[in-house]
Amino acid sequence: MRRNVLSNQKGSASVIVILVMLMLVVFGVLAFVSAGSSLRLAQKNAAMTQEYYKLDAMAEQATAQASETLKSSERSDFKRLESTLGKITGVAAVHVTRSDNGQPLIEMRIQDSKTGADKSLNVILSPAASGSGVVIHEWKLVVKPFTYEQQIGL
Amino acid sequence: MTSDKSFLRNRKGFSLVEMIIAVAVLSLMGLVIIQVFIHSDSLNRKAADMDHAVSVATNLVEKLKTLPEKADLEKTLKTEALSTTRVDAWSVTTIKEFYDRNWKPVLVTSSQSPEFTVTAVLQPDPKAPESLSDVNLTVVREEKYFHSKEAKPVLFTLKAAVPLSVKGGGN
Repeated sequence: MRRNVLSNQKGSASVIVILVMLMLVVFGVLAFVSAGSSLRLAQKNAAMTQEYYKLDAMAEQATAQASETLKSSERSDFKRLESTLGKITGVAAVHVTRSDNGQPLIEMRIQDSKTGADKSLNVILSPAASGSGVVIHEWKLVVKPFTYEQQIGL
Repeated sequence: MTSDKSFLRNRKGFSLVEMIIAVAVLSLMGLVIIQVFIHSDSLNRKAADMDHAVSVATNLVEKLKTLPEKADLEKTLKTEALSTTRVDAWSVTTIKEFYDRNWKPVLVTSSQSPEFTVTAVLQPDPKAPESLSDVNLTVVREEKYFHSKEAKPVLFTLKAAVPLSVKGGGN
């Protein structure tokens, strides 16, 4: 009886079809998952770039306004300068110190209130020696450490 | 050896019914699987296009950032389609760049139709109009993707500010 079952070739075509199908399905799913991951990565890269340029635009505006403020007499009164610069939109924190040449050295933390505090742009600038404009010493994006959350959704 | 010979001499194969069923099942399932492969290819293409779009957009913004404050955009950027429109006292400058399917720059005048269009609209920043310009950049694909509803999918949009004065510089 057992020998009969083993030697019986009926249904072998179906077995081959099932194996081929299984192989195609596995490769198809792998390709789809891989493509989905690539797209998610590209979307994250795009979102990160958008966030950076939003902060960068805010920093450009803050720098332009700081440059205007430095033209006034406020540049010698550091406390007043700090309070004026702190009112600029997007400026989360300002710290004014005296540099070696006696000029104010302004450190600003630019932050977008909508996106939260996990990303900020640190800008350090001082008035230019010529009298107009500013010299930028640092323009750095700071990203707070984050925990990775697995999200599935294509 | 004997078993090999018997295997070769064995004239047993698949019956016609078996073959018909196997081919029918394979073609039905194959249709579905091919759709999955095509969709995967479309997703891969979209991901690659999005990466290219980000790269092209940042490249253009960084190029604008390095320009002198009162630069002549038309001469400096050498783009094929640069239109400047003045709205009241303010000027709105539009920069357009075209790319083929391999992201190589395409001339608008050439017979080759572009697959991607990069549009950057520059206008004076309301907070610092004398020294700063706002840039609204959009990268659009002129054809739709497989299984996509959007006729002209927007790949990337970017809002930036550049230290460039475009106020009153219109044609």
